[in-house]
Amino acid sequence: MNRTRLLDLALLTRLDQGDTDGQALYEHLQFKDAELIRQMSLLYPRLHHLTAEHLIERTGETVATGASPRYVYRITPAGRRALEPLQAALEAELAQNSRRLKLFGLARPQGAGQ
Amino acid sequence: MNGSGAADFEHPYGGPAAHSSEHALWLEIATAGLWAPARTMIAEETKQHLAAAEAVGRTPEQALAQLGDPRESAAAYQQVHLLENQVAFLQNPLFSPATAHSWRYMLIRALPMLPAAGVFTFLFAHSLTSLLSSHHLPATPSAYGYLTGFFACILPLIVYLACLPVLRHRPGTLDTARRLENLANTCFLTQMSVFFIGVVLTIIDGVSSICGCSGIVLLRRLDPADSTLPLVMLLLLLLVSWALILIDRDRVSVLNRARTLYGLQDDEMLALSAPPATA
Repeated sequence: MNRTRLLDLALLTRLDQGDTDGQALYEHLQFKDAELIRQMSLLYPRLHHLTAEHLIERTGETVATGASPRYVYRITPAGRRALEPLQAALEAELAQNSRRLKLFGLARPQGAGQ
Repeated sequence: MNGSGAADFEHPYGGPAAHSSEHALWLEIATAGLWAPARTMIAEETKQHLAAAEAVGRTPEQALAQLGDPRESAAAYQQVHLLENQVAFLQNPLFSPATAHSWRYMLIRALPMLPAAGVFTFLFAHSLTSLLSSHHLPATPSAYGYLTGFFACILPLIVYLACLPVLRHRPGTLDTARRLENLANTCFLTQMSVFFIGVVLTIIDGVSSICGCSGIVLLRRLDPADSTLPLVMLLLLLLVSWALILIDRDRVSVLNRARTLYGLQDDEMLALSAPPATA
């Protein structure tokens, strides 16, 4: 899974939990994955791409933070349908990587300490 | 300019004011070459992002850093948004949605195919006459040859003309526009199939003629000097019709994108894509 698809998956997954704006998406992803944060220059282009693909939609609603009005992104039914194969692809990739790690004796038990 | 407010910094392309001079520079790099509505949209959104970041305690430098590398953003934006040259293409009178209702422009677009069809008719009829002569059939059935050649050569033209009533219809809704785009794709795939059939026939014809082996009877009987050229002409004719259908497909695709990303209505899109008035 390349990095743009990974970012798409992260964005769709977050938006599936609720509508939000671009800055909140950034803050959310910042604490999730260091690799994702390095490609934040793609955040808005990917949001616009997903909008053009009708997987999400942009509304002019305001977020109740007291600040100026912001655009809010919302996942569409088509986006929810697209989310499942993306998640399945990621899980399959992770399972394959896990098997490879075991092959070389590098697998660590899940939840092991540092 | 008093230097105290966010709205003091002008957008490099005349869009909404930038959050800061650094933001204005970021916008200038990231939105270079984009269509004006796209630049406005990006400027508004990034400005709101910076304001929101500062509202949650980020410094202006940290907020701007959140937008990332403007060059990388520019490359990504150019893959998503409409470019100025794409809109200039839409303003060509032959392809502008503003002239899509005009049969005149539609016929003008089909005109380049007519002379090619005439040439192909002549060549194909010549080949067919040679074929019939080699089978000891009446040696001058030119009427059959010309008739068959005519229908064979205008096949791509018929496909294209069949697309015209649909493509000339201005999409009323997004769903309609999507259906038109799908139809144009289907037409393209159909013609591509015909193209590959033509390529296969040409190869079989050439191989069977060179080796003297038994290939397809009709093709084996044809003199390569006579049969290859009409096939090449047919392929050229198909290429012309593909190009026209691809242009139509791109036109609908651009309109769909403008409608989806910038929320433009039919009238607004027609106004933006209208050909420049001639003096």
